[in-house]
Amino acid sequence: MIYLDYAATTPLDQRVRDAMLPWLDAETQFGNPASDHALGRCARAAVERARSEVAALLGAGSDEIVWTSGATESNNLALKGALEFRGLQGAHLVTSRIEHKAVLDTCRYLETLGVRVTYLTPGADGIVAAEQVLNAVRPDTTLVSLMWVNNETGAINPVAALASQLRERGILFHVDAVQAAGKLPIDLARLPIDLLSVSAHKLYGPKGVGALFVRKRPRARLAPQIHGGGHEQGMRSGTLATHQIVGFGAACGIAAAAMDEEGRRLTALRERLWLGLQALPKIHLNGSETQRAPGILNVSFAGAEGESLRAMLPELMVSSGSACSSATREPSYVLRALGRDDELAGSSLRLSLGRYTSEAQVDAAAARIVEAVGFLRELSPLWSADETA
Amino acid sequence: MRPPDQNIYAYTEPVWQRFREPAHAGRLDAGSQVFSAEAGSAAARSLLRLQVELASGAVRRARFQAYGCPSAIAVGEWLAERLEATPLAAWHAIDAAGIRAALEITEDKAHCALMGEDVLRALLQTMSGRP
Repeated sequence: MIYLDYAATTPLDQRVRDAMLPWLDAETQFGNPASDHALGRCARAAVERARSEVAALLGAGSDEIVWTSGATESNNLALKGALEFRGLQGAHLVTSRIEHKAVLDTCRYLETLGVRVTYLTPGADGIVAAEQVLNAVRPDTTLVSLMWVNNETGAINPVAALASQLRERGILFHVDAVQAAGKLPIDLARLPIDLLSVSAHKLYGPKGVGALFVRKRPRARLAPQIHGGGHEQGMRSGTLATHQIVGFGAACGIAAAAMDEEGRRLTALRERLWLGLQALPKIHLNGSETQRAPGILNVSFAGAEGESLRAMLPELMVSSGSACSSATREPSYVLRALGRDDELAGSSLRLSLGRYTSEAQVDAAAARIVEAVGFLRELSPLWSADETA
Repeated sequence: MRPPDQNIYAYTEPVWQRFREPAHAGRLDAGSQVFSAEAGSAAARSLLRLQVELASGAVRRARFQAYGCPSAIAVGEWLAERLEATPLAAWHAIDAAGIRAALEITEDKAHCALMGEDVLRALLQTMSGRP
């Protein structure tokens, strides 16, 4: 088995697991962080240590981190919370067609409540240009939501260039940084982003915990979406999951320390993989060649149907751009938005590399894919026609 | 390279077996006794090409090429097998329902069997000299 799906989720780092386990201890460390006795205070101290670790990775203040159940909740809280606080009726929101469904479906929901949404189409390189966003904002624009790194192509959006320009216009800026956190330097002390979503399980932490950065100065105000005991400064009620939060904190600490070296290593591995795949003619890199995260490589293989390609590669844990079911193939909406036709979008593989990816794995994966694509092309009447054309 | 043993997406056994070992995959060179037809599935954007070579009024060889999911490839292989084993006069009886039953094709892949029927009908038309 070769795992090349780190953009979907990452395995729990053993050091993170070790940090989490004491907080599952039934004897001494099970307290509710909201309780005002010794056990509660002990848990609360651990939660606050983790909060400072997550904040440090982002260049934020500890009091700007709100715990959530994951990035889907973070995105929901950011968008619904900000719009509800500022008034839904007639509000205008700008986002892109290549956002994660956690943003897109939330936008669709907000539209049913009277919010008007502009969905920007990226360039062929998968990047939404800053000018596109600035051209789309209007006097009634309340919020812009743009992902830092696209989860399918790894393309990096110019959020740094946009942040100060949106601030000047008084428009809230939300960034889904799930694929950026721990991979790219983020310094919210310098970048005037107002809201930023992160998730633990994308950076070797546990599933089920995430965070939303909510800027204090100037303050980004949110209407809570989960009501209860007023936890998390009233923005997100619910008893905190100490062990999950401690794991998230540990994961962020490790990611921060390893970021530069890991970035270089993953970039080299990604290039090695890309080189290996180039034994095949007519393959297409999806997304920007230069502005992309270190660990993601998305490639379309002309002449190799996506579902068969996936079936040929059971030992590779990768994401595919298509699934053929109910007579209708649904190619990746992200690749379609980049202008890829259904065939190429459907014949794509997203290969995402991470902390435990080795050169041997990359070489083996490239060899398997080259063989599988060759087999399917050999079978294909389209490929024969293509070659003789 | 052949597809692997592991059928992790749970294709039916007759489909998986033919996807793994498409013994009739290939292309016949043009000749006076070689007939070809193609059919596609617009919904799934698949394409199936079926070819037969006749000798003395019987099929000498049948070959197929397919662009599509494993079920589409299996349909091509099954048809080529059947055409080699079935007298020409009986080809009309082969239809989508029969292909589905033989390959245990599920409802969501029914279009693959329909594509099989379409390509066979197109081949019969070609062989009868009609456009």
